[in-house]
Amino acid sequence: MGYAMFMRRSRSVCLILLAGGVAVSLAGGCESRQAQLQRECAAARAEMRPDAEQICARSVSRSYSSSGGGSHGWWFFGRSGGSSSTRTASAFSSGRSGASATSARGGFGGTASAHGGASS
Amino acid sequence: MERLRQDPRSDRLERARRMGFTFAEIEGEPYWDETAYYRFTEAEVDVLDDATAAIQRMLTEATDYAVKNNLNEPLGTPAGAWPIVKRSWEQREPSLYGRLDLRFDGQGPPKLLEINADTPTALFEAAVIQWEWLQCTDETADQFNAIHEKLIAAWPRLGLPGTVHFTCARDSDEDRGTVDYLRDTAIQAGITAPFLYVDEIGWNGQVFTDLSETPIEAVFKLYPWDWMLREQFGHNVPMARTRWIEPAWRLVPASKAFLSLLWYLYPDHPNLLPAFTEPGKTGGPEIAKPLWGREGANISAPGIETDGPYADQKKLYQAYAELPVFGGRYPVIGSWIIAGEPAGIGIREDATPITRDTSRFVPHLF
Repeated sequence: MGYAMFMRRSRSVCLILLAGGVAVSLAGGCESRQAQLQRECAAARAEMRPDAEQICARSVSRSYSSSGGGSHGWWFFGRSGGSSSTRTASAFSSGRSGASATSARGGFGGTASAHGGASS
Repeated sequence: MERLRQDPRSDRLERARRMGFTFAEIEGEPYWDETAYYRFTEAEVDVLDDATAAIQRMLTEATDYAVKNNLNEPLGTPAGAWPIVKRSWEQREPSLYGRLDLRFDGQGPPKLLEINADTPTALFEAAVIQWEWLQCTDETADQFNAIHEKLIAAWPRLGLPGTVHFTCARDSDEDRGTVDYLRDTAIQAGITAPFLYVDEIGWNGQVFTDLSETPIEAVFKLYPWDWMLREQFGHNVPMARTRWIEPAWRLVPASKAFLSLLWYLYPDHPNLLPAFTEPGKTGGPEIAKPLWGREGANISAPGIETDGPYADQKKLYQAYAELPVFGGRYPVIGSWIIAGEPAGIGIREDATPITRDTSRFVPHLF
C-alpha cells in the first residue's frame, strides 16, 4: 500500500520525560498518561469489556515513577543514577541462596572508554 | 529526490534544548543541520517503505537460516555467545528497533549498505526533531515519519515486565539522549523506566541488580552485545534471567557478514549489493568493512582508507556503490524498523562518501 497513502498531518508528538509534557506538534496537545488511562477506563466500563477492571486498575496505580534523570537541569525527573522500581523481587526470589547482599559492579562498560559511545 | 538549501532558524539550538535534544552540536560542530533539507516525491517514499519491508522479511528468514545452520563461525559471533543467540531466537524474543542504511538517489532501487541491528542511533532526531522542524517550515508538506507513535505502541507488545531498566555508557551525550528519548516513549506506554549507567549494573552472584539491589528483570541497553560479552560480567549473561532489548539474536544481523548471507540466499535481489567474506568475488570495485566496526572506522574502498580500532577484525567485502552526490554532500537514508515494521527515515550526510560520527543529520519532507 505504501506509506504515502496515510495522512500524517494529524499526528501529535508528545514528550513527557524530555520536555515535561510539552507538545512538540502543532497538531494537538499532549494528554497526560494518567488522563489517558482514566479515559480508557471510562470507555472500557461503558463498553462493558470483560477486562475493564484490569484496565481501570492501571489508571489508579500507575504513575511516572522514573528517576535517574541525569545531569541536565530541565529533565522532568530528579536524581541521577539509581532505581525507583516499584516491582518486588518475587520473580527472582527462588533459589537465592547463592546471592550476596551487595552486588559487585563495574563488570560492564570497560570497552566504551576506547570507543566514545555505542552509536552505530 | 532533491536537496534544497534553507536558512537555519535563528533559535534552532534553543528549540533543541527545550525538547531535551542535547547533542544538536557535537564537540562544537553542527550535527543537527538546518542549512538544507531533502524533498522526496510520494512515489519515492513508497519505494523506500516497500524496500524496507522487503529487507525486513529477508532479515527474518536469513536469521532463522543462520540459527538453524549454526553459522556462528562465518558470522564471527563472539566466542561463547551462540547458545544465548539460539535460545533468544528460538524463544522469539521480540526486537524493538533497528535501522537500515540505504543508498538511494531517487532513480534506481534502494540498496542496502548496512544493518544496524543492535545499537542504532540518530533515533531522536529522526522521530522528533525533524518533525518539529517540519511543523515550523511547511504546513502543506508531510514527512516519512511514524517512528514516535510506533515506538509507544511497540513497548506493550514486547512482553516485558512493568519495569524496564535503561542503560548506556557514560560520557556520550548522544547515547544518553537516545536512551532518555526511548525512556520517554516507554513511560508514555505505561512502563516504569529507571536509568543507570552500564558500569552501575551489579551482579549479586545470581542476577543483575540496580543501585538499590533490585533485580533487573528487563533492560534496554544502548551498549553493544559484542562489547558486553567480552567484559567481566559477560559470562554471567547466560545465567541471568534478564530480558535484553535488543535481544541476543540481533547479534546475527548485526554482523556485517550477515550481508554476505543475504546475498547468498537472495542473489541479485534489487535491494541488495553483492557481498562476500573474501575479497575479489564481487567482480568489481569493493568496499571492505570490519565485521563489527562502527561509524565508518577502518573502511577501505577505492580512494578511501579510514583508521580506527577495528583493524584486526575479519572483513566483509561488498560491491562498492558510491553514495550519490546532492549539492556536494553524500546522503545515507537511515530507514527505521520498529517492532518489525517500516516506520520512517532520517538522513545523514557527509562531505565524503563515508558516513561517520561527524556526519550531519538533515531533515526531509515530501
